[in-house]
Parts: sequence; structure tokens; C-alpha cells
Amino acid sequence: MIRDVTLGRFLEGDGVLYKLDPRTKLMGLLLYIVSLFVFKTWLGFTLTLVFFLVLRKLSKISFRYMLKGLKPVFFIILFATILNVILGQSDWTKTLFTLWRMIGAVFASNLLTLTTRPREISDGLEKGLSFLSIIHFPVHELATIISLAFRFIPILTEEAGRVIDAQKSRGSKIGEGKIVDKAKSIMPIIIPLFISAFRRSDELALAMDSRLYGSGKRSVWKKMEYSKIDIYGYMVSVLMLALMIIDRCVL
Amino acid sequence: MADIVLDNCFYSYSNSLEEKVLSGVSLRVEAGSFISVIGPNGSGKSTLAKLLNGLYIPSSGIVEVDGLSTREKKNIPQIRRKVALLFQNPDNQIVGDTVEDDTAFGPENLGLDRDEITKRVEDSLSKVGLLEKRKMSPNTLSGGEKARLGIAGVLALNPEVLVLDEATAMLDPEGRKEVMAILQDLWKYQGKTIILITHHPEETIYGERIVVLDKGEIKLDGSVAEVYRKSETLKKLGLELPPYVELSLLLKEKGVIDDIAFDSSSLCPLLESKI
Repeated sequence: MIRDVTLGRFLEGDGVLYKLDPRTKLMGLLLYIVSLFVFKTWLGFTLTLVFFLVLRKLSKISFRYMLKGLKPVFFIILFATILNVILGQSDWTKTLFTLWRMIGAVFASNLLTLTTRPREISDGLEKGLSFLSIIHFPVHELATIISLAFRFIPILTEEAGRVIDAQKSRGSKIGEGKIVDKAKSIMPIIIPLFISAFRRSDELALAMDSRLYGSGKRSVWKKMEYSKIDIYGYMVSVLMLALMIIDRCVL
Repeated sequence: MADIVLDNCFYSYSNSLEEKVLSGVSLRVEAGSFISVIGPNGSGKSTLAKLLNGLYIPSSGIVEVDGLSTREKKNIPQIRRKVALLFQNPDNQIVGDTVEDDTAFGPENLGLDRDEITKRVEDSLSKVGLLEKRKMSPNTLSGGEKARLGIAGVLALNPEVLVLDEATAMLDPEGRKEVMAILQDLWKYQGKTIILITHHPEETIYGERIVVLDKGEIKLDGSVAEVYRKSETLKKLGLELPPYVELSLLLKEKGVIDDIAFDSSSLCPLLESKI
């Protein structure tokens, strides 16, 4: 199951979403998530759902692959939904809306990472947050950390898979038994994974030092440029949010 | 061209000099040479590699690259431009999402303009035979290709010296051959200095000099022939010999040949002279 994690993975493709500038996609994601938490009626629910389905179609990523992305957060969503019901949310419509808000946010985030290379996301963030450098916020460092974190997701999930296989081959019953047993069996995976991650990060830091990272002013090889399609991207995202505000305030 | 000089270098990971990883290492690496460093695990090979481009500073003693001491902080960027270091696991040193992005990482850190970066990326990738795969994700490359990408990444810095810290350790024989062919080309035809730290004895015959480390000290230092003639010392240290050296030692013991050989081209004349 660990190898099925799609979060943070980039998938080669040629859908329309791939052609958008990362800044447009980041802003679009932000506005979409806000829209998800703004709508109040069935109309808003339907619009956000249709909007997501259209985006999915434009990305040309299979719905089955998107569903895989829900696996790691399935229990969190389930837990939140149960809490919602227990804490007096007797209105099933609202529970369904809450459920969709969480699933929609995960789906939309997945769409971003599946159609955008980690480096593009970090470059987009760096550019988008560049105004923070006025207050000496380390924007570039933050963007690099995010980019590296994304890059190492597939490597560490592979490694987790190997650790699980190794522990299973030594008789460990990972993922078997009751929930408490399942939780306990995670420890023999987590510890070696952490040790490995620390070793990797140490070597990565040395390699980056060797390649003169942080030794002076950096230049950027690939310049980000908006195209016509980005204007449509911004317009649609803003329109979606505007409609959701109307949905909340007027309807 | 950069000469590297280590003078009486000691290194300890703790503050106490009693637990020394390197102990009085003195070494001179002439520009344009190909040196292999071998030794058992824990002999200090990787520490030595990290001293060469200022990642580690010796506890005592001096490391100088082209006259620049690694003790001076201001010299470090210049030293790292001259001496590039490649580590064992290629996955742990790849930073970019595509082959070309990763190669551009070093030149970007140098603050070069776009045209120069493009030129360096293309040059480096063509030197290691990865130009056609420039748009691919590093995750899709084979082990050998990832190691070649690592070499391209440091070549883009246009270094004079390449230090490979067991960079072929995780590769299959085919991948190792690919890397060794590139190193030969860089050394013979492009004048780069190569310092190869390795556990594979057969790789040492590609070079011209071997340094043997044990417990932080240099036990042997000489030409490939000189070192392998002292095979008893190597065996005492638990080090393997290249297959041709092993074979020629056996033949010499039986009186079939008079000297040792490192490959087929040196073994055949020895045999022919006796037939």
C-alpha cells in the first residue's frame, strides 16, 4: 500500500493543466480550497464538484490514479467525518459537504503535484512569495526545502516498501491484527526509515555544499513566463470563488 | 591546474585527537594525475575525500588546493570550483526534477547567465552520454545513468579535479564500466585530475598511482605496479587484488612468468616471452 502513495508525485503528461504556469496553478489551488470552504448550498457543492471533474478531464489523469491519492488520508477523513457526526452534526447534508471539502482539497492538491514538477512548484512559490524577502524571510531556502521534500517522497516511499519487505521476511506481522497491533507494528518501519532519511539528508547536504549551494548569489536558468492560458486560469479561479461567495451570502 | 597538497593531516570526529580517523597523512596529488585510494572499511578514505574540497577541515595539518588553504573560509568557494566531489549513492545527490535541471544546479549556484548555463549543461550531458535523456526524470534512470548524471552535475562546475568517493560502489558491472570509461576520457583527453576512492581493485588499474590507507595512515603509495608487487601487504590488510594480478602472481609463483600483469595486454607479452 505504501508504494501506492501518489501525493507529491509528478506524472508525465500532456493535458492542458500541464501547460499552466505553476504560479497560476498554486493560486488556483488556493482559491479552489477557499471556494470549497465558502459554499453553503447544493448548488455550490455541485459547482465545485463539476469544476473538479472538468479539471481532472483537462489533466488527462485517470480517476483511478486520483483515488489512490486518497489512501494515505482515508483514515483522517473517516475520523473527521465520524467526529463531525458525533459532535452533534445531525444534518447529513452538512456532513456530506464537510466530507467533500476534505476530499476536494486532497484531490485538488494531488492534481497540482501530479501535473507540476516539484522544482516548478518551488520556483512558483519562490516567485509568488518573493515580497516576503523584504522582511528578510528566507523565501528561496523555503522553496528549496519544499522542492527537496517533494523529490524525496518517491525515494522514501520506495525505501519504506523495502523496510516493510525486510521486516516481513523476518517474521514481522506488519498490517495484521487489530488496530492497536497495526499501530504497534509501525514502529519497526518508522525507526529505520528515519535513520535512513537522516543519512540521506546528511549526504545530500554535503553534495549540495560541494556544488556550491549558498556560496553566493544564485541565478535562475529557466525563467517562468505567463501565457494566454494563464489569464483564463486566473479568470476561472476568481470566478469560481466569486460564485461561491454569492452562494454563501445571497442564496 | 590544481595541485593538491596534504601536509601531516590529522582528523578526528570528536574533539579528542585520540580517536583519530586520519593520522599524519601527507600526500601530494599532481595536476592531471589519476590516483586510486584503497583501504579497508574505516581506514579514513571518505574522510580524506571530504578534506580535499574543504567539506571537512583537518584537526591539525594543512590541505592546500592550488596554494589555497582549506582553513581560510574565503577560499572554500574557489576550492570547490576546482575540486568536485561525488558521493556513493547517486540518489542522495540529485537535486533536480529532470536530468538537465539537476545538471544546471551547480552553474546556477555560480550565478552564471542563462546562455552559459545552457552551454555547460549541454557540454556536461554530452560528455557523459545523457544529452538525449535531458528532459527525463532522474527517477527513471538506471543506476549507471544516475552515476553518470552525478558526474555531469559536477562537470558543469568545470572543475580541475574530480574526487569520487566510492561512486561506483552501488553499480552493477555494466554501470561501473560506463563510469570508468568516462573517467578515462576525462583524465586522458580532457586533462582532469581523478582521485578514485574504491573498494573494487580492478578499477585501480585504470589509474597511474595507488594510495593504500589503513587505520588513518598511508601504508603504501606508488605506481600501480609498485603497489601490486607488494601484494603480501595488501593481503595482510584484507584487500583483494585485481583478477589479472592474482592470476599473474600464481603464474609467477609457478615460474611461468617473471613479472605481474594488470590486464590481458600486459599478461600476453609476458606469456609470449616464455613460450
